[in-house]
Amino acid sequence: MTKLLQRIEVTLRSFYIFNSSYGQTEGEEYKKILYYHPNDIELNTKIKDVGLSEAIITFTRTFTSDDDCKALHTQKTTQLFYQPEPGFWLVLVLNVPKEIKSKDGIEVAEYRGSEVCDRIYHSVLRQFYYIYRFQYGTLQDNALALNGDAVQLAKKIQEFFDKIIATRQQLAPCDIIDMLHSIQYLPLGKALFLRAHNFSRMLSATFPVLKECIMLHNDLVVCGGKLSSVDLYSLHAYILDNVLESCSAPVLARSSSPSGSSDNYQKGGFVNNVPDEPPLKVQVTLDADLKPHYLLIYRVLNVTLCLFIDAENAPPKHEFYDDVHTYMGSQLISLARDIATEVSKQNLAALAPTSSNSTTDCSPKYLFINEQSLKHHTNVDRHAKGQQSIPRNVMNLIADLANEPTNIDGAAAATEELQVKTTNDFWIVKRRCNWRQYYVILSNSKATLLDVTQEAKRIFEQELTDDVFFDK
Amino acid sequence: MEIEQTPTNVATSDTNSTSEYLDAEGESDPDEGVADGVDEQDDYYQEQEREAEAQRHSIISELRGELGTRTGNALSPDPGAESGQSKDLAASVESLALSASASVKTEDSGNTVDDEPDHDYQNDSAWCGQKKHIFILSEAGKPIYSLHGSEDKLVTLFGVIQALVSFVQHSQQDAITSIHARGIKFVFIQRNSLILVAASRTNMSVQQLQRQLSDVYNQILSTLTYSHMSKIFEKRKNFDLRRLLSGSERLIYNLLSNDSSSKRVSNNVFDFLTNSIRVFPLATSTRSNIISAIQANCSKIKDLVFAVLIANNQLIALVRMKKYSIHPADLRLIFNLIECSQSFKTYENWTPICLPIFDKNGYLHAHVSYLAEDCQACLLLLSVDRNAFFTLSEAKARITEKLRKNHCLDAINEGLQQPYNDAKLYEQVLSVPELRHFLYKPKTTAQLLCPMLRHPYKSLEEFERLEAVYCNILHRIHNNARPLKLIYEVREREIVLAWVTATYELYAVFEPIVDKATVIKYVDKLIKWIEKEYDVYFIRTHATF
Repeated sequence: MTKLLQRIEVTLRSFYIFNSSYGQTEGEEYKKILYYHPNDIELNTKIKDVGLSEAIITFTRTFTSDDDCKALHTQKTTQLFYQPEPGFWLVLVLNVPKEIKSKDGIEVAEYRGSEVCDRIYHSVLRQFYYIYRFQYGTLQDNALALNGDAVQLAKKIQEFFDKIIATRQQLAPCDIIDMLHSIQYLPLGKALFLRAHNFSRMLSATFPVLKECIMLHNDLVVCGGKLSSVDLYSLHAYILDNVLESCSAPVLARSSSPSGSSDNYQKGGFVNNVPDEPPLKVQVTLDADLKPHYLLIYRVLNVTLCLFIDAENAPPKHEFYDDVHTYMGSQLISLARDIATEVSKQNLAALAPTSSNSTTDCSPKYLFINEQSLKHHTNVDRHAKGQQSIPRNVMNLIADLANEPTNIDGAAAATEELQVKTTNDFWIVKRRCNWRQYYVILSNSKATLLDVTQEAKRIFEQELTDDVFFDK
Repeated sequence: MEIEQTPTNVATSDTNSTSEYLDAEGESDPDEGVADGVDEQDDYYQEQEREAEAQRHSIISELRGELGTRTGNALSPDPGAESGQSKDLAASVESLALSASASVKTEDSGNTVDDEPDHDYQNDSAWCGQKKHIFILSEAGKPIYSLHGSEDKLVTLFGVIQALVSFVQHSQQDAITSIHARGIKFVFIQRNSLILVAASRTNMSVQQLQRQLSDVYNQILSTLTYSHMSKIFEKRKNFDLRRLLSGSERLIYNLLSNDSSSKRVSNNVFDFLTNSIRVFPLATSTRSNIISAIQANCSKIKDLVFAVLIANNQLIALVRMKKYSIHPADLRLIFNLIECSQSFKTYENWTPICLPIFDKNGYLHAHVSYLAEDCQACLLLLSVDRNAFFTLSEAKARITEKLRKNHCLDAINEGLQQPYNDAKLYEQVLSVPELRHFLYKPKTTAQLLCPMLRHPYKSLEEFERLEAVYCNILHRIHNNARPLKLIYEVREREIVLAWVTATYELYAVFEPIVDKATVIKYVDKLIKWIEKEYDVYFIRTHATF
């Protein structure tokens, strides 16, 4: 008779970055390790771990010339590998979920390695790299700038990643949204959407030095401009981490009220960590090349505006800030107010009918992903607990079924339709067409295949018709 | 006697034989170019060796075990013992960055005298690009088997594998399960001092590859028995198991070539994927006649555990002792043995065989023979008594007599001659033209029904695609972490349905343009037909003596 005593979810065991070319000589192996978390482990163990990863990578090279080792599964851990630039490897090591059962009085640990969905965590690993690259540029460039000094490079990486890891310890709830690096856009009515769009276009036209302008409302994107999806995701993550939460950043407000409390964005102002110094430089790909740009952040009410200026120019002066502020201040304030009103109307509308359904979770959930713009649209509440949340195996299944974003110049994406029933009586219906994926999740145990198809069709038609007016 | 002879014949080719053990290596290399007498000696030697294994007390096997130890410590590079080719190997060893673990350079006596320079497998793109590689090595790094290429030339690779496995085992108390890279998967299992590795570009999932490696391990056990192997490895960790396995490589090869990676188009792979066996379709009356013939003639024989009648890789009848039954994995080994051995057709054979799941520690003795010259069905009578050959031989003769009188032999022959496996099934399948192929497995028995492969799956390419489709849905349905009950997938080239109910599992492939309601209708029709004809295609319970 076995009884489940305890279940421990996926946890981060270690995360490290190494480059084999830095520690070729005997006695200098520690130089290979550019970053290792947790830091308080003995150096020898770190070297051994890195050595094992290197050995696995070399072993796979025996059989395939593609330098693309992805994962190592052992009984207790899962290691994921990612090589963003030749020679530099990022490795994420996870402890797999563990269940402690008592069999005839003895405690036995059972490792559920197959519950870890590789693809999801591989994406999480890629995210780490992209966030780093967003702020500091490629590792290669950094290494060149420091003249190949591994120790210096390691220090720089360490400062950055220690912060990042601290905020991302929670790995268990990662799911398909993380996997595809997609972002939820703010659903706006046509008129408002066009207004916001026009606004950013006019701003760029009036100030030609502004290469790009991205607008966010709270944490949802309003218009994404031409920024690539990867960069947009990194920008979004950056804003979430640093801007929306930082209550202590002084406000570089010129013609409005003095600094005061940062909640006071009534009149709008630029956000800059240290006044009188050049603004933050980030690396984004506009015009097909990864180049440094200055990032200026302007906030008013709940709207955040991100402006990109090519870093080859001199950093903008105070007058520039003033000009921009004067130009757009009032327009943006009224736009922000209108968006806020619309959003609160939507929220009220959404709340009302679901109040009667809140106790049952039979209402179908859907998820729509546009592969080309990596935009998603869903009524799945990812952080809901208990009754409301979707069981983990269903979310993992969707991750299994999802197609990774493919090259747009590749062959036309296959058209597919799929219905799947799980052992806990959830139905997942998936349709894929024209680089768009739609998923509907139903939890009706009595439904037959045909019923489910009908229901899914109804939802497709009802919820997912307003594709036309989204960006890109 | 044999021991003394072989060294004198073969040692002449190796001037540097510091110990007699090299003779044993030499015999497995047919291009020796020494006295012709050696070849015959080898065959005879191998036959003898199998008998010796059975008896387990043979001086030969003890001696062979003894000789095995002098192959040198696996961990210390010892180039002096070989004839110099190993020096090339030493130069081409990649140094691992494992500073803590012992770097295993197993340049030991695995290298025989080669008449060609070491084949550098790592640069041989044909070898690297093979769809499926299977490697078997002992825990000490000794090569035992490689599906492609000669295993004694892969010593460095095996050393690397052994080092990886032992590093993870000892420093992290963990065990490697699999490695994934783009386009290729590596699966590792460890059983009783053997490490088995599969490197596969096929569509099989990790669990399916693990099952395949288990099958190979069972095949090895089938030749050697678990207790024998454990004893050997307990005594000498770096024993070279190849010596005991010479002759059974063809069995392993055949077992592994059931799927499309060996370019064969057949239904055999589905047996493996669903972990079941196929049954020879016969009318109920015929089958029960056969069974009663066997029962009548065998029930007086004590120690007879199983009687298995097979034709064309399908089971005709199985009669068993009460309380005992055969697992499908064991039956696969038996099928494999019959398929591989042409010699069974002409003579009656008496061979020891171990069924690992039934009893991994002992040998059953099998009387194997084909029923008659004109009937290609093979009868195996498995007994625990090793002196029962003549009794069983008589029993077989009587059974054949009886079957001939009942016209059962004719019925079997008729079944064998059908080009399409079975006329009724063929008709049924044709009546639903959009149904291209299906697999039906009832939950209560480990048996499978599948129709013959027809257009478009007769070509190798399409067959590979079909196999990929089945591997995929079987994996998704039976996934440990996220099993499913139903999959209905509309793809570009076919509609795939997988359905698991309380009584059966059904996997079917349809034309891509059929709509859902029609698919459901066809499936219902098929299920009804199968249930009507159930006893022709499935054996509900196996009869007992």
